[in-house]
Amino acid sequence: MTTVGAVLVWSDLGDLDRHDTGVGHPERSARLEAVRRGVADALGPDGIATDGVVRVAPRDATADEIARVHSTRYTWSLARLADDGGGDLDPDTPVSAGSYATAVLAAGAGLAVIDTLRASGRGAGFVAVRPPGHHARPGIGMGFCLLNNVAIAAAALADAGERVLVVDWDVHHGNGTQDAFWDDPRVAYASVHQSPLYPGTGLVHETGGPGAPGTTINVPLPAGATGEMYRRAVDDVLADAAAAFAPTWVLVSAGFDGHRDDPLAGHHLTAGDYGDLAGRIAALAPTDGRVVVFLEGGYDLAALRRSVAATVGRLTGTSTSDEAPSHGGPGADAVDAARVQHGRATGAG
Amino acid sequence: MTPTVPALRCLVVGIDGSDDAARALEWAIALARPTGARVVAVHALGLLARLGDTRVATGTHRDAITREFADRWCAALDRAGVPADRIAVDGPPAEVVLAVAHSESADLVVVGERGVGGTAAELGSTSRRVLAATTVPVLVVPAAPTTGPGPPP
Repeated sequence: MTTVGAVLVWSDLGDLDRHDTGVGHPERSARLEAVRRGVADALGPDGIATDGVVRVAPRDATADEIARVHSTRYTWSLARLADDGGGDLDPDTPVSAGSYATAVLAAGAGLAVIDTLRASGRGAGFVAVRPPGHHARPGIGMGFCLLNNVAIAAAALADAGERVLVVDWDVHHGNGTQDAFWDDPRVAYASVHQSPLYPGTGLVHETGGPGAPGTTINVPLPAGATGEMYRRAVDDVLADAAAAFAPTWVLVSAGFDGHRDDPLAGHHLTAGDYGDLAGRIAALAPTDGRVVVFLEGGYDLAALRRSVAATVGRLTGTSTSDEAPSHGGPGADAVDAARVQHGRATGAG
Repeated sequence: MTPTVPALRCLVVGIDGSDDAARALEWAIALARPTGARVVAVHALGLLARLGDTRVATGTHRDAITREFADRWCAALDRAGVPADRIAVDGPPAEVVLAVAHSESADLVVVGERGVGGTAAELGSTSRRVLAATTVPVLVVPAAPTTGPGPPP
């Protein structure tokens, strides 16, 4: 079991972000600036320039790397749509002329961070990219997502012989990631999310296909849930499952839209909760240098900044959040149901 | 041999607040009147929705969106007086329509050719995705009025 380290290996798109979602869309470029400020908050005024931070330039994911997750027909069609000036995949998911190039770069940023961590064996990765990815299914993007960044990274690691645990704490279920590894025993997928809510998947009985039974774990929590229920989900359900699965890498789909200030959902987490979760989930990795956090959702810019700061602060051990973790609220029954579903007797949480 | 046309007992129609969906609903009502079929209006709740000219998040405006769907987008059902239900489900539009068609044992699905999104031809509009994935007959109502006829009176 690893402890948090002092090195942050991070990559962001900077001014290479050309994914234009249009006026008023919550998934917007300003999110990345909020994330950068959050990282700076966590590391201190000069932190980003210190030896404790390794900046990794994003690179394009190759066609073969993307094809591990997405159909060639889909990626070809997405590229063509962007080339033609854009359009809508669905009512939520616009594509602009620069969207495909940005999505390919976002997917490659995660791969670049992993390459760096594999070489050094030290630090925690943070991939600050957009568009987010966890709703993107193998055959079609949806829900703001074009290419599934975390799934492309997990598939690359799996093909390299690794066992990968993907933990998804975005408030929405990551149906695309679940679909990608539904029947793949090399990658376990665990999600804590609000339900009912878009995309309507992630029910507790969704536990994996016949080739990978039990490697999909869903803890759907009702509206109003606090960070305490997320912590219980990790401690009471995911920890045992992770121990049984024995991952060699842990990837995190880190959406911050469960924050109490976020406009897209109804959970009541604080920035401090995300710091707590980051620490708990990093502890599921076997050693240092094997945890990578990927940005997914999070649409209130101030809350996003604070939540990223808390996450990075915990991963690097450099700072703690001013927002205390939250407690109470509904969801204990849902955590218990997930624990029972995954074979552990009910008991103290 | 003359093919047998099965009785229409249940029509599922996709509703998203667009003009196309309104036309699809007109067609569903027109078919329900002479057959006595029940119309099940379905709305897929996405991440975002439009209330009037304002884009809002479904997660925090769920009740208002559901009311808009039931009361305004489906107002023609009340005016027509046909047996009807309204169902709002979280998920992508095509999959929601298909799931409700299955659960309601629909005899016919009615969708607009284009809605408020999903217009990327290469990747398939909602209507194309429904057509590609169901064994239930599907009526696709064209995007805009043409010189052709409207729904039966």
